[in-house]
Formats: sequence, structure tokens, C-alpha cells
Amino acid sequence: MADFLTSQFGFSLVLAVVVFAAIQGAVAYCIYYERKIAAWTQDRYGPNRAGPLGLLQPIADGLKFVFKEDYIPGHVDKVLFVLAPGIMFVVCGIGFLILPWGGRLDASTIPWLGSHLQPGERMLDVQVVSLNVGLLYLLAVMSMSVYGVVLGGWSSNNKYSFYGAMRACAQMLAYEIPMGLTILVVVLTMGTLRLEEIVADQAASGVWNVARHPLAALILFITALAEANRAPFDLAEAEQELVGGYHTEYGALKFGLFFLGEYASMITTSALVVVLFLGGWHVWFVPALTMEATSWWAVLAKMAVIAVKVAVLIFVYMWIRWSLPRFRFDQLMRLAWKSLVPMSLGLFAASAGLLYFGLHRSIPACLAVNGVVLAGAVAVASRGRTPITGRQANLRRREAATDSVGIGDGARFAES
Amino acid sequence: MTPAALYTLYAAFVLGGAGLYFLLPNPDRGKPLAGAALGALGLAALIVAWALVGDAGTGAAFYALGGVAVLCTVRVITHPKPVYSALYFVVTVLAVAALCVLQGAEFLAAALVIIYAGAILVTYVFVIMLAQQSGPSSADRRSREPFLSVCAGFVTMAVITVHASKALESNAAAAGRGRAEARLASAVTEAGAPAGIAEDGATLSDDGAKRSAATPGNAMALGGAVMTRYMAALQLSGLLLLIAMVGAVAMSRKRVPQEGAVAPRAPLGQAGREVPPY
Repeated sequence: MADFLTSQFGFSLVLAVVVFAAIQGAVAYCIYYERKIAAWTQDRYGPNRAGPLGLLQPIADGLKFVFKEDYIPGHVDKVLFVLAPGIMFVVCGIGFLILPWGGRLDASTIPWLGSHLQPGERMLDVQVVSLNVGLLYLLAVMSMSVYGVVLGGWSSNNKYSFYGAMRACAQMLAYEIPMGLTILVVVLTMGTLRLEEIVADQAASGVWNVARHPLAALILFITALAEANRAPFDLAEAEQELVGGYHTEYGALKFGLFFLGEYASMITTSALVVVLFLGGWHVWFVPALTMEATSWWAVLAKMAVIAVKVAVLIFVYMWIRWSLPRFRFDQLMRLAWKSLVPMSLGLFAASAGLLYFGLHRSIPACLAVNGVVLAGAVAVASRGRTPITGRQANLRRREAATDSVGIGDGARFAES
Repeated sequence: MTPAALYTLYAAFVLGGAGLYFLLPNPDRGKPLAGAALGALGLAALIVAWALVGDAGTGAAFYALGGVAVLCTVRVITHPKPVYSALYFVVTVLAVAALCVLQGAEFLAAALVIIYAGAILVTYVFVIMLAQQSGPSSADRRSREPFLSVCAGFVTMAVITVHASKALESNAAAAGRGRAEARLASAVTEAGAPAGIAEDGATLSDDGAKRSAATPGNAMALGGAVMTRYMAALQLSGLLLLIAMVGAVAMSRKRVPQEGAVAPRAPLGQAGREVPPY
């Protein structure tokens, strides 16, 4: 038994269960965290009745989800209606498998279980699976998460849900492109698709990728917000316009699964940003946080560091949500296709050029490239003549149309 | 290939084709039980033929995933609801990606999922949902020219499968029977990639060479092959996609009248149907 648990397979199984449970627990407390942050932003108290400081509120909410009547409306497509939350939950729940949580572990240092091993005899990856296409796996899983939203919206057979699904679909497709391109910038810089090697590289050199490619980090953070359907990109749910968007018709545990999926994907995307740009488990000047430290307490310290970094990023997510208004849909699309895609394409091409000249690891060269791309973007943006209002400048105004009938804005009768 | 294996393979295709013909949607028929039975027989015959060919280098995972892929593909073309068809296609793509992983082609698997399941099929689902707001169309309940399409599809598939399994057999004989690695390598050589391409690709960076030596993976080898031997094909396909994109933009664009121009009002019900050329 001890031998099985200290083998890579047994350890991966245990780690998968532990991290999955930890993420589920973290999701419950993310909701508490979000409500508290909302309350602080709006100068309120937030949940403070259940338990000290309201800390038992997530448990009460969870119990409420479980014990509510599991109602399926009569007008829905039953198979997909039930399947959609499941897809959302599974897809958002398997992304963490590839993330490196704590470098390597010397199995002989595990208390009790590892006592029969010699030091250094068996080194374990603190990662559930170590794939040589790790980043691509994560991208593939993230690209599948749109199905839960789209099927939930469509099967509800409700126009608000359907609008939510349509918006989610277009948004995910659009933001996947800059996300993939900025990830490729990191791949070009580091020369590997393995997440654990990217972290080990940053830890060994002490240079986090954000110091080389701050613009790419920013773009990745923005697209991570969009991929997790977080405000200001939460047009798929947009309570004020679409009732609740794709989950309008859902209640009880199925609604809870959508929620779990959304928060779990927040955690996964923040962990991705941390791993790619913020050095993973690495912090400077701490001997326990290097690749050479492989004892069990060093691994726990590394996991704690990742958890803190992820928590900080999630705080930023929530801070943004309660500070910024939601985009309008055309602004959302314009942001993706007219600014993020060209900028990330430029960064990608420039990184390839740096790689060709062997400068891809030099901080000044990378910063210069980022600066040039940013300056170019600012120059193009400042050439715009009119502020973005959503109305095309060359359309007739509604009042000026002599023969206007029906409902619609200028664009609709300009087509005819 | 023994005659027994060959004829079992042919029988599998005939049975499968007949089964599929009866499974295709047709409102005049009842539940397609005969079709399902014939299709199941065909699938069983395919498995027997595969076992007879021998040295397929496969385990239970291959049969399970292959079965899922075949059954879901059948449902793609026989399901009367287009949204479900598209979703079965997603499952097919996932199963095929898993088969790629079994063969050691992780990069191909990831690319298949990202591009097909994650982007193209999302677009399909998107379009189908937009197009079907008024309920299912009667055209979805009856397949068009089922006999001809089944014949064409299964004859093509039979030819390809028989030749592929013959090539597989001769390759395996040449490269040492019973070893999946050898067969894979010979298949790659057959396809035109030089066996040394892995080393070529790995010399891109010394770090990468060390890592790929420690952990064999094919992403770097594939990248090396695409960027050296197949450079022209890569550039041409990129150009083709660019042309397609420009064409799509040109076709979907509508001219917006300039300031002051008064557009003639379209007759009722015709608004937006015709766009003046520009």
C-alpha cells in the first residue's frame, strides 16, 4: 500500500482527489469572497449572519442548492437540458489536472509512507499528469467549456437563454484567438509546452515571464476574464438584459453545477496566468521555493504560494467585476478583433523574430518589443476620429429618414 | 492478408452499408430495428476481420474508442435533429483524438480537439441553432438519395481500408512483426518523413534537444517536419485560407449608403433580401 501511494500513479490519484476537493471547497468560499468584496466595494456588510463573519454562508448556500426541488420546465429539450450543467462541470473540473502545483517531491521524505525508500530514490511530479503537450491540453479543455453554456441556453427553449448562448459562443470563439497567441508567445520564449518546465525555468532564472512580456500577460489576463465569462465580459448572463442568460431556466443543483463550473474555471484560468507569467510556486530568496527543495513541507509551501497568487488574481477578477460596467456586445467584439488580436499577433511575430536572433530570453529586447507593439496600438487607436458610440458614422440618423417604418436602429433600414 | 480476412472485411462493409441504409431517417418506416441489427453485425464482422488481419497492435482501449467513434458517426448522419448530429460529431472527434493519443500522436490529438471540437463544431452548433429557431424542418426527417450516398461512401471506405491494411501488413512484415513502435516508424517513413526528422527538429534549440531526449514527444518532430520538408505545402495552405477569408468577407459585406444618399425603400417582405452590387 505504501509502495503504491509513493508511486507516481498512486500519488497522482491522491493528488487529483485532493486538488479536486480543494477546488470545490475553494469555489464555495470564492462565492463568499465575492459577496464580501461586493459588500466592501458598495460600503455594506455582506453576509454576516451564518456563523462568525458569515463564514458558514457558503455551506448554507450549498445545502440550499441540494435540497431545492430539481425542477425541469416542460418546454425544454430534456436530454440536453440535463446534460449541459454536467458538461460545464466536467469540462471546468478537468483543467487543473495539468497544472504543476509544487515542483517535484522526494517520496522518501513523506512521513510514514516513504520510510522504506532511500533519499532521492523516487522523485514524484506534484502534478496529476505530465503531458508533453500540456499547454495544448489546457487550451483544448478550455475550448470545450463553451458547450455547456451553449447547450444550456439552447435547450432551455427561451429567447433570453438563447441570446445568452449566442453571445457566449461568439465571445469564446473571439477571445480564444488572442489567448492562444499570447500563450504561444510564452511557448516561444520558454521553448516548451510543458507547464512544469515553464515554472522550473522561471524559478531557476528568477525572471518571471511578466518581466519579459508584460503586454502579453495583460492580454492573457483580459482573455482569461472573457473565457471565464466574468464581468466585464459576462454578457452571456447579463442579469439586467437577459434575466439570467443561459441559466435562466435552471434551478437547484443544476444551477449550482453551472456556478461551480464558472468559479472552477476562474481558478484554473488564474492558475494558468500564475504559471505562465507569475512564476508559479516561485518566490525570490526563499530556499524552500526552488526546484532543488523536494521535501514534503517544501511542496506544501509551494502549493500555498500558488494558492496565494491565485487568490490575489481572483481578488483582481472580483475587484474588476464590482468596479467596471459591462461591455456592450459590439464593443466586446471590437475589443477582441480590432485590438487584442492584432496586438497579440504582433507580439507573436515579434517574439518569433527575437527567437531567430537568439534574443528571446533577453529582458530589454522583450520589453522593447512589447513597448513597440503597445506604442503601435496606441498610435492606431489615437487616429480614430470619433469616440466609439456603436453608431456607424456614415449612417443616416434615425430622425432624418423620411420613410422610416417599423422598429430598429439606423443600421436596419440602411441595409435595404 | 488471408482471403478469409479479406472477405470478412468486405462482408463487414456490405453489412454496415445495408444497416446504415435502413438507419437513415425516413418517416415512412417505423423503428429501424433491422438496420440496427445489420449495422451491429457489420461492426462485429469488422472486429473479426481486424482480429484476422492480426498484429493490429491494439488493445481493449482501441476497440472501445473505435466503437464509440463509429457509433457516434452513424448517429451524426442518422439523427433527425441537426443539433444532436453536431454533438455526436463532437463525441466522434473526441474519440478519434483519444485514438491519436493511443498511437502516440498527442499533438495531433490536441490540435484535433482545439480546432475541430473547440472551434469548427462550435460554429456549426451556432449556425444550426440560429437556423432552426422555428423548430425542426421537414427536410431533416428524410435523407436525400440514401442509396447512392451509402454506396459511394462504403465503396470508398472499403477500398481505403483494404489497401491500408495491406500496407500495414507489409510494413509490419518489413519492420519486425509484433512491435507497435516499429510499425509506427515505418508508417511515418512510408508517409515520406525521413526517420531522422526528430533529430532535425530537435536541433532547433539545445534545451529542447535535451528535453525531447528525456521525454519523447512528437510536437517538436512534427514542427520540424512542417517547417522544413513540408514548407511549401504549409505556405500554400495558409495562402488558401487567406484567400477563402478574403472571399468570405467580400461576399458577406454589404454596402452602406453614404451620407445624404437616399436608399429606395424595399417592398414589404423584401427588406434585406437584395443588396445592390458595388
